[in-house]
Amino acid sequence: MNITLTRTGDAAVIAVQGRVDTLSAPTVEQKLTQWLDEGETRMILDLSELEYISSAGLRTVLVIGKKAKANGGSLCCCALRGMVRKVFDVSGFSLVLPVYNTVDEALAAG
Amino acid sequence: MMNNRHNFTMKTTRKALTDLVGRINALLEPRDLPDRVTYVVNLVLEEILTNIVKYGFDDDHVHDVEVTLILDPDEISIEFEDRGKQFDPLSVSPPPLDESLMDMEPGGRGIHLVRTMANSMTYRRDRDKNILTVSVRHREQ
Repeated sequence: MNITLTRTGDAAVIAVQGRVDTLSAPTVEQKLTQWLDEGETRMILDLSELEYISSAGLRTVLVIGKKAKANGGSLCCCALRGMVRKVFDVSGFSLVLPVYNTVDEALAAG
Repeated sequence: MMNNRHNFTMKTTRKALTDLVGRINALLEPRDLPDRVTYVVNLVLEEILTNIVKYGFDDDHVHDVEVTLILDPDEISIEFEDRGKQFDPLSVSPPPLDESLMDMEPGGRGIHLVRTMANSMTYRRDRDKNILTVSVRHREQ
């Protein structure tokens, strides 16, 4: 698992790559919490290179999504592929979080 | 006879769980399975075993879980046997899908994911054992 933040205007584009499972989800949560605490309000998760996510990873996305919203900010996901998209769909995450096809679409959505 | 059954005994620790998932992935890799099958097998192993490790036993001891991987020409089945508390994952009702973000509960999604993504799931209690079998077909029907 690899996680990197790139600033684009007021948005933090965060690329999460590889596997987010029981083992790596706490690291992802810790990183995202740190960025929220540092004042990021508009978080865009770029999942184009996310290969695997389990319920532990979904839990992290949910926890951070709620924290961002409670802070008056937002969290959205974009560029989900194949099975990762399917997991978001069947778990209902695509209904409660904004999901965009590309990073550019997410940025344009303001 | 083809050697299509692989038996593993896993200790109920996070480390043993990660090791087992790694070993099974190494077994599956040369078979060149569709992405969906590999993904769902990983999900089944992680979600079911995490549940057993976290909630299966009331004491703090390390227990054994028997995991059998059965590789058939058109499906992969995984059998889990543990002597923990009686737990039928098929009795868990799915979380509602139409909640808002703020209402959504963080936990309890693993079993639902497995039930939705795998092709079949059967549970029986045999004396003091939970026996759960989950199958993933190579071709979606």
